[in-house]
Amino acid sequence: MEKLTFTIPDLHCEGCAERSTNILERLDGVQEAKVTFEDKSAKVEFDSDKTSFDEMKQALEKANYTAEK
Amino acid sequence: MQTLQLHIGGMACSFCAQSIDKAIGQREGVKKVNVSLAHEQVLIEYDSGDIKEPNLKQILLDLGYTIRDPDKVKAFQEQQQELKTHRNRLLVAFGLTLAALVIMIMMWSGVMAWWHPWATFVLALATMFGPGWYIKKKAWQSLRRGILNQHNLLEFGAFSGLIGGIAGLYNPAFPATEFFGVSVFITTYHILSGWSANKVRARASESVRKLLDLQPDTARRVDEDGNEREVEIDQLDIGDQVRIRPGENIPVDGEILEGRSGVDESIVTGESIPMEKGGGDTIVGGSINQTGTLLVQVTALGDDSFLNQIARHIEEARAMKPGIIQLVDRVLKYYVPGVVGFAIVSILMWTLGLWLITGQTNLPRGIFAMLDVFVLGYPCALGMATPLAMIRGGGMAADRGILMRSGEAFQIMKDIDTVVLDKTGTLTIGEPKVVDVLTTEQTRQNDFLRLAGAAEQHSEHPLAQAVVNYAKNEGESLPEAEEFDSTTGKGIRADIEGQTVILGSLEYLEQQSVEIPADTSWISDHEDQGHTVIAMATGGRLSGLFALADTLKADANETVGRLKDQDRNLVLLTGDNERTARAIAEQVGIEQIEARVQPDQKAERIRDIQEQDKRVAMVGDGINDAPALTQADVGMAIGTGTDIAIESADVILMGERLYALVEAFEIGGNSFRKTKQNLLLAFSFNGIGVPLATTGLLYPVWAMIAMVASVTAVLANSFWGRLISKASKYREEQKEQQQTITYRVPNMHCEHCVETINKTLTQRFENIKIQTDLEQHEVTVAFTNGNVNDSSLREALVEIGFKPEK
Repeated sequence: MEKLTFTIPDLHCEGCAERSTNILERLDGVQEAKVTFEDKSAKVEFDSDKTSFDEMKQALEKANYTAEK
Repeated sequence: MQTLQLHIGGMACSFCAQSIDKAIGQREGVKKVNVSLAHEQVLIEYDSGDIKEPNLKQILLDLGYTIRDPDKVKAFQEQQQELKTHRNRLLVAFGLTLAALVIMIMMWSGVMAWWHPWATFVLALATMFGPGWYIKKKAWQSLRRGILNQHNLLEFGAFSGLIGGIAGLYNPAFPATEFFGVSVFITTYHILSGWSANKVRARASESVRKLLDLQPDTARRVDEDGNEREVEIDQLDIGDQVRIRPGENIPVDGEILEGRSGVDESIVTGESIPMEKGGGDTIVGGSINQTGTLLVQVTALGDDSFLNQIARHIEEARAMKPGIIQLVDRVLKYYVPGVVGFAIVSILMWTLGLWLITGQTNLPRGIFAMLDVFVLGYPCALGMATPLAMIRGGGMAADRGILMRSGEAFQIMKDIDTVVLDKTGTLTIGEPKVVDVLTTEQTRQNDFLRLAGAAEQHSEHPLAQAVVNYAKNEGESLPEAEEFDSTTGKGIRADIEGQTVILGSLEYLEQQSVEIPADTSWISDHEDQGHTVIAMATGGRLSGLFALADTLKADANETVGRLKDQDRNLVLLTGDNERTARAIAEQVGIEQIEARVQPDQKAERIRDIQEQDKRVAMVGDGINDAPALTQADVGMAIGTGTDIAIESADVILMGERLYALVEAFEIGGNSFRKTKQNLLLAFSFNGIGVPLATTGLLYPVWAMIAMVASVTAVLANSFWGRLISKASKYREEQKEQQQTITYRVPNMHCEHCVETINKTLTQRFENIKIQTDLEQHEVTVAFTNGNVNDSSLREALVEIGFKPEK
């Protein structure tokens, strides 16, 4: 299991944070994701064999968010 | 006894079919002839002691038909070639007619020239013996065998014109230019009708070709060293080993040596839920391998294989299919002798008749009258009557995804009193769905679905997929399952969020020592309806149950209702078991059920109904339905499933829409009404002209006037009016009107969310309108039917992190 923290700068509200969490957790290989609105951060615990930061970034972009390492 | 099956080119109407039937049937040694116009095939049973294959082929060639290559692609190419030849003939004939028209207009407007008759003479000869030569071959061959058809009728007219014209070159009582002109005109018309009939046919088979997978069937043979090679099925031997990958059609009958897989036998047996198969089990060619790779030993080939048995049943059914004589040919049967009769009467009247009354004869007038009768006897619009109605009806049908392959299909539609429907894939969607969920008191439904979906999400089994889809549609995001272990086809064990989840058949759960409570009325209720029940346990205790079933298509009830309103008797015919069949029949309101019908018996059941003097339509999609589709008066293949079904059908309903069936009936019936009107119009002008012509007072120019009038009338009639009922039209309009769904989306909190929803949905779906209410957390989507529906919208929303509720 790998842990990764990155920023989602365009979180606008609590809802955005919740949705981003959902999006990340739907990904195959993501064990746990925690997105907080206050500091616009995402903490993800994932299996690096199954997914990657790039995949997460793509999934978030589909929903109109960006991700920065 | 031997059988010969030939593909024939050049058949234009059911009269051709009859001519062939007659010409071959009268030969010694021929036991049975069956000509299928729709399939352009002839099946001859003969005794090779009395007649040989080349003789039979020669008869067909003599009659002016061609014998096509049985290879599917070649046959289509030849058909295209024929159409091209025909078009070229038409162009030449058209040019000649134009020249004749110019001369005649000059003449009518008072410009007389000595060369007019001679020029039209040349044009008449050129048309009749140039592009019209093929008609002479056909006419002569049928006349020689005592068959009277439209080709003879044309030649009577054309030659009468020619003779009348030649007479006119010497005797001014005969209008030479007009007589020659008529020959040119009617020959061209005949070529035009032939071309349009050909065009309709070619267009229909072109559409059919597009639906067919014309690749030769191949299999992956594994040799002793374990190497795989793709070979054609014909090259396989019994005992060979073939490898079949997931998603592939199973090419042969065989026994599984290695591997396990879910095998979808629905197109073979009608069973809706795939069977789980492993080492030692037998599999049948034509079914679909779904989940695993299999190594199979070939056990049957050629005549013994399932697919070939089906092919034999299809041929048998083809020979036993009740014939339809096209209306036009029924009329011609009386009309042609009628014209000949009037011709004889007119010459007798002016010779013998006149002599009896006045003691004198008027032979020239008698000849004039006779020639006139023949010239007027050719109903030009006749050849167009059916093709035009078919072009209109066929085009309308095609817009609705209905493909009519033959004129017979149109004609018979209105007489159909019994509609036999296949179950799986026809009335139903053909794949299992979750229809009911029961959770135990301690379990929260959300958790239950989430865990079930998670446990099943990596399984390819259709039942598992149904559970996953259901969970996802309920908006559950699925956690990852760890350490799972599955007993294929029975159940699955997985660790999810620290809990052990067991999901599978009731039997599997009991084996895993999960207690299923004694009060199982929920289970037995569902099983009585033919549903499949699976159960889930968490932490060793039962947490809930799923009931799954193949569900009815959305338009099944409406379709069945409409067919019943039209007083058609409905029968459900399926290979599936009685219980499942009854459940589906009850839901949709069909009383008569025939369940557990083996593939080879389906056609027999249709014959049984036909023997009670009923006209039967069969609707089906599978390989097992093919013989029944052929046997039925109208076979209707639904969906774009199997080649064999499509090739056997007269009408093809493309796509999954069942209501197309009702539309096909309406369009078929109304098009036929048009054909009847057209024929009446076509015959009426000539029907009046022929008796008048016996007087010898009618000039041949009237033949041209009748021609123009009747063709115009037929054209106008064909494209005027409505072919589909008001109810169906209304339904269509309703469908086109917008549908709206409102979702509650609790986690839509800000403008950014709204923007995302708008952007995603408009990008993904065409023609939708979105309204959002941030305060109420509501999203309303308005859309016209098409690829947008509840589940696709939900899916899109879930994908971008929302949790839509209705």
